[in-house]
Formats: sequence, C-alpha cells, structure tokens
Amino acid sequence: MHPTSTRPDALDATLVSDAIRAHLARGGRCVVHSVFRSVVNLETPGGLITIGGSSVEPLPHGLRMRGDIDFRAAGLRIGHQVLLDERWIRIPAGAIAIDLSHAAGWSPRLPSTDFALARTRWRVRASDVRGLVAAAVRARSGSGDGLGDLVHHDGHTSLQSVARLAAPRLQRLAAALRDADPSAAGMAAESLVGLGPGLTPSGDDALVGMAAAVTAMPPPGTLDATYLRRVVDTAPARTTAVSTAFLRHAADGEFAAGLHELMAALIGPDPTGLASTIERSVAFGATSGTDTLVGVLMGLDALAGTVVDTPAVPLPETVRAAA
Amino acid sequence: MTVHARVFRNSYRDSVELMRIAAEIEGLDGITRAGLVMATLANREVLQEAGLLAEAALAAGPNDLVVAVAADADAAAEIALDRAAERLSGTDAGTAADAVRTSWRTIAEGVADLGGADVALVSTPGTYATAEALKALKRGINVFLFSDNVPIEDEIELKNLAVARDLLLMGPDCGTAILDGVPLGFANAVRRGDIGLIGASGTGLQQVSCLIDRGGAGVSQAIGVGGRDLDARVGGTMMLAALRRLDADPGTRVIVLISKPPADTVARVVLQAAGSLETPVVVNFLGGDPATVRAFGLIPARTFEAAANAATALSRGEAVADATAGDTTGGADSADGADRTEVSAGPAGASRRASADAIARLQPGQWRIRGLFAGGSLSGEAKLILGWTLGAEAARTHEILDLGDDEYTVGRPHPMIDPRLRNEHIVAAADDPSTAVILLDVVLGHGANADPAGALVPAIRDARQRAARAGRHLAVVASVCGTDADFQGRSRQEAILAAAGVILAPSNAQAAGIAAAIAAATRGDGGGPAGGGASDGAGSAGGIAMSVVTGPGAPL
Repeated sequence: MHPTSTRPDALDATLVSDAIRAHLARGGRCVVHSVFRSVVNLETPGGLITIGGSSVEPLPHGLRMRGDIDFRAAGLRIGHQVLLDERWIRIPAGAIAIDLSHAAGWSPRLPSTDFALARTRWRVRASDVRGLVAAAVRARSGSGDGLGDLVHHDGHTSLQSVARLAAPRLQRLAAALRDADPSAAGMAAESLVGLGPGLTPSGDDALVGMAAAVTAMPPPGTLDATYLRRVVDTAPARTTAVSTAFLRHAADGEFAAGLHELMAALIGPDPTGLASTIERSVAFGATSGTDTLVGVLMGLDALAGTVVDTPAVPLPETVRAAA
Repeated sequence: MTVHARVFRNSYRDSVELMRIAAEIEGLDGITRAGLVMATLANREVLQEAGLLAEAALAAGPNDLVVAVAADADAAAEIALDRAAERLSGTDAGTAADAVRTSWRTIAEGVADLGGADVALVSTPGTYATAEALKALKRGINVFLFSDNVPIEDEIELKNLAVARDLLLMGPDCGTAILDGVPLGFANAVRRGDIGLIGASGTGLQQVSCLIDRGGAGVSQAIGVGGRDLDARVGGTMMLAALRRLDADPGTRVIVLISKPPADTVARVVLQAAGSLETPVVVNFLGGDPATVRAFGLIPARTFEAAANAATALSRGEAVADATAGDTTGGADSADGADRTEVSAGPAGASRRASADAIARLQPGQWRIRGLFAGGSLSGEAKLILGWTLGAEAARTHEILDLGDDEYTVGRPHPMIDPRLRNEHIVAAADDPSTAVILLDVVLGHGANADPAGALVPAIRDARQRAARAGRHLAVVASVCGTDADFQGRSRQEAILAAAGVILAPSNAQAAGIAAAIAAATRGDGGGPAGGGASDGAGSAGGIAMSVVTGPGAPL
C-alpha cells in the first residue's frame, strides 16, 4: 500500500489554474477519483481537480508539479482521503503533501481574436490545415474508433461506428453555430455528449474543440461557448466525470494549454509551427487529440461560413444527405 | 454468435491502454469483435451499432467501463472477458495496470457488489458525512467516520441510531481502527491476538497497539470512538457499545480503554459498565484517578505503556491487579497530590550511558525540555509524566507542543506527514540557550511519512551544530511508535535516529521519563529556572535522576 521508493516529503506545485484557485482556498476534504501513472484526479464538491507532473499539459481544472511522481507506485487509490486548503493538498494514504505556495498562476481563459481578422486568416490557412490534419491522422490510422475517420475518409467505404453516429450530429451543431443560434447549438451538443471511446468520449472532445473555436473567434452578436452550459447541467449523468470537467470549463471559455497553442497557430498572427502543433494535437491520447481537432476545424468552418460549401472535414455523401 | 459483456464500476483507464486491451482480446481465438467503452447512454448506441450491446451494459453508468465481446461460443467470450479483467485489475504480470480498483458511487452499489460489506468508511466533507453515515447505518453497516466537522448533534443522533441497531459508529474525526486485522485510517501493522482496544485517542491507540505487539501479544480489534465520545453530551455511547461488542467477542480476552480524561459523569458510567463485564478491563484515562478505576474492580494504568504491559500480561494468563503497582513514589496518593510515576527500569544500557553523557556535557543555564510532538495523545502523556516526575509547578516551565494541533496545521500538512514544521521548531529550540533536551515522538504506520526519522535527522544535526557553535550540547530523546511490520520499519527508523546520536526509548512514556531525568539533573548545577521547585520524587543516583517508566518485562 505504500511506496518503497524515497521521495521528497513535500512536493512543489509549479502552476495552478486560476479557475481552481478560489476552490482550493475554500479548503475541505475530498477523495481521489482516479489514479494514473502521472496524473491523479480529485473529486471535490466543486468539480474535478487534476494533479499532474511536469510532463502533463496545464489544464483548466489542474495543477502541475515540479518533476514527476508515479502516483500508482505511491499507492494512491480511488477513494483515498484528500485534505485541501489554500496552501496544501495532502493525501495522507500516499504520504503526499503538495505545497501550492510557490505555484505560479495560469489563466486557462482562451484569448479571442477579432472575428474579421480571424476569419480571414482561417480562410487563407484552412486548405493547408486540412492537408496537414489528414496526413497526421492517416499516419496514426488504426489508432482507434474515434472521429479520425471523418478526416481522412475516402467517402466510399463505410465509416466506423462512432464516426457514423457522430457525423450528422456534428453537422447539426456546425449549422447552429453558423446560424449563431445558441438554443439549437445546445440541443445539437446534447446529442454528442458521452459518444465514443475513451475517458473523454469522442463527442465530448469534439464539443470542447468547437467551443474553443467559438471562444477564440467569437462571431458578432451573442453567440459564445455558453451554449454548452445546457450540456454541462446534464453531463454528470451522461458522460464521465473527467469529461464533465472539460465541458464545464469549456462552457466558461477555459481550455487546456494545448488548445491555446493550437488556436494561436490556426488563427493567430504567426502560423509558424502549424505543422508541428497539429502533429502534437493529433498525437494526444488515443483519439482525444484528433477528436478535439475535428471539433475545432468544424467550428472554424461553421463560423467562417464555409460549413456547407467547403467543410474542413470532407464528409461522405451519405452523411451529408443525413445531415 | 454470442455477445457477452462485463461492467467495471468506476474504472478509469487511459484510452491507449483500453485500445491495447481491445486489440489483444480481439485477437483471441473465437472472438470476432471487442469493445471497451465508458457506458454512457450514447455509447450504448455505439455498442448497438457494432452488434456488441449486451444486457449487462444497460445497467451501467457513465463512469463505468463496459467490456463487450462478440464470440463464436460462450466459453470463448468468457475467456476473453477474464483476460480483459486481468489486464484491468493489474493482476497480470505483464501490465502496470494497478490504477483501477473497484469502487462505487454509492454505499448501495458497494453493498450490492460485495454482497456482504459490514463496514463503510466515510470520509466525505463533514457537510455530507452525516447523510452518508446514516445511509450506511440504515443498511445495517458499521461506520468508520473519518470526516471531521460533523456537528455534535449529528454525532449524538448517529450514535443513538447505531446503538439501536447494534452497530458501531466510529468517529467522527476517527483516525485509527483495526478491524479483523484490517487497518483503517492511521494505524500500524500489529500482529493479531486477543486484546481488544477501545480508544477516544488516535496516537494513544497506536502506541498501545504497537507496545502490545512488541511485548509479543496481539490485537483482536482496535475500535476508535472519536475524541468527543466521552464528552458529557455524547455520554460515551460508543465506548459502551464497543465494550459490549468486545465482551461478546470470543476472539477478545482482554479489553483496554484509552481516553483523555472523560467527563466525570461519563467516566463513572463507562467504568461501571466495564466493571460488570466478565472480560478483564485495563483502563488508561490519561490523568485520571487510579483509585476511581480500582473502585470499579478494574485495572488502572497511567501510561500507554503500562496499559499495554498489563494487557499483554493478562493475555499471557498472568494475574494483574494494578498496572500502577510499580510506582514507588507514592503515585496519585502522594502528599502534594501530584501524580508521579517511576521509571523503574530506566533506559536500556546504551540510552542510560547516553543520558549520563548528555548530563555531563550540558552547560549551566541549560535546563529546559522542549517536547515537539506529532501525536496529540503522546504529547499529553509526556506532559503528565513531567508533572509526575518534576512536580506540577516545575513541569509548567518546560514546553511540550502538540504540533499536530489545529493551531499549527492550518495551511500545512500534519507533522506525521510533513516534518518541516517540526524541523523548524527543532532548529529554533537550539538557539535558545536554556534548551537542554529536545523530546520527540516518531510515528510510523499507514498514512505516516515514508521515512520520518530520516526526515528529522538533518534538523537534529543542524540544531546540534548551532548549539555547538555557541558552546552548548543538546540532548535529543525520542521514541518510535511503530512496528517492524510497518512499511517504514521500526528497527530501521531507530537505527537512523541512533546514528544521529538520539537517545532512544522504547516508549513515549520512557522517553518523557528520560527527558525529565536529564532536566532534573541539570537543576543540581543551578541551571533551573528561578523558583522552579524541583521535585524530590524522582530521586537521584549517580547524577541521573531517573524517573521511571515500566519497560517490557519490568514490574508493573
């Protein structure tokens, strides 16, 4: 039950998301929700908190530590007691104490770009991006039953189950975004929740990607990512707790650092490094990176008004008809 | 073609790992398709599409993992599901899949899955703890309530319900229990035996159980009842219930009660109940009056060690009338009313020599004991022993801090986990020219620091060096509360401390006795505080006023 390796008595957090600072400051007790080698999730009354080592990207609901600790080897188990306060996270069963006092703050809020400027950039880059994404996904083909099939599908063979189920729903959501209709967007989004493989099902990843597109390139009017709040309300019963955390923050315009980087490459002033950023995105997880990217591309297409004519994701004819 | 599925509740696995498992079982003989997905509503559609929807998946929730296979025959499907289960449970040597342990979202789910759970551990925030504990009790399940901040009114209600249903409600804020050999909360790896412990004191329970283990006996059950159980409002409800439980337990032949001083009215009720049992009962109410305990036909013990020794002797079939019988200085009956005990055995040879050496090296003006404790009950016991050996007035001039108290732990980890706060105090104590002895406890076991002795040594060395630069010596006295079966290893921890020149005692009481003896000896050099009022109770021999703690094998 206990680690046999020696490790520091207290671990230092280096980065804490601004979105969970207030939550930590309230303190209290919670429990370990799930344990992975380099990540442990805590289930708190205010939502999930993810603790990761230095190799884990900053998350909207996360904090990052100096170096890496093997949480499995540390003996952490689901349900272990965790004590929280403004300065410390303590997990007595694993003899782990994480000092938050020296951690820098990090804002998960995704910055927005002027809509007209972003749309122009996207239209200029979209074709290249599609090629890069298709190539990166093809290179990882066979890596899972997610939405990747939508990106490099030849339009003739049958789609994998998840992609076939997701495609018309994604199209409905894209159309709602194009029409700047939050109500229709919320309804379409609900149909994608919990769909697909992984801890963060493909449909959820795509929803986060689309919300990132809306947040980074907000169209004139009232449409923003808050249409997702309708989804968040029912998400705990419809998808995993991990996924619910990502959706909750996405609805508030908060995203993981990888998405900040991706959006900057796609619609920011400097597209240098676009290819490597896309490769990294696709390589994230088994299907999550690709699924999120599909959402981003469809979202940008929808907002730029190209959803029907030149979708970034070349859907097969059968799917277009269904949509 | 047949489709089978198995559900793994609250299983969270990396997607890459799930894919790898799916690929592996899809490659098994007779398997045509396999899928591992979280059992969301939407994924039922996916399974349906793939021809993999089996009935088991319909009852699963979004945080459950469903493994579904389509196979040529039932046997092939079951083999594949067993393989997936192996991979997911981490029992297969080829994987590092130890992250998934079955746990449940509700008590009802857990009970249904386990088919016979009889203890629920509740560690939710206090706000929710009462509701969860109520659910468990209403299902006929005993509760270990680790949560704090549970209102006392809720505690009373929960305990009354538990008693009505013949159940235990251990807590709230219950830190330690060992039930049928299973440690809960902070507890040590002690051998099983026939001594049942009931305690309203966390580190007190730990100390007694470890000393029983060291004496060669074992623990049947250790039941924590929560620090407020003997409060007049709660009335000792759970200590009484635990007494009845252990009295009826065929595996328990001796019972030990451990608590800080209870409310008088409650103490009498508990003692009366204990006195009516057939099982012999040793009572250690720290600072309580042994005469009262004797009056109920029970065996009083004034230290944790004395309680452990008495219980161990009873377990061996030896007769024990009074665990304070070894007191040679009048004890509670002494004329000035100060409760004193004797360290009849004193420290073992090496420690005795080290103590004498320390006294010889202390400078005039060095007289103060600075006790820096991680365990609240252990610090309480040390205070009492200083009072007994040095006299109450003199004892107050020394400093015994419980660094695990809320006053010190707000915003930082408990010193049983993180040594930094205590290390700061150790170094600061060295800068005070009056400091003669630093007294420490080192608590091992589940939940404690992985190497508490190793974590203290740098601070001890630093303190000694600072004192040496000022021309002073520092005595450091410690005891290790733990067993060799604890993952930190008592012998290993003691060796680390001994190598750093720490004077070791086998119990907290003996460590406090040694510290008191050193402090008492320094007074002879005129180093004591003005009006310190040195006690004469400890006696003096060869320059070392050895007060007393009964060691294993020593007369009780």
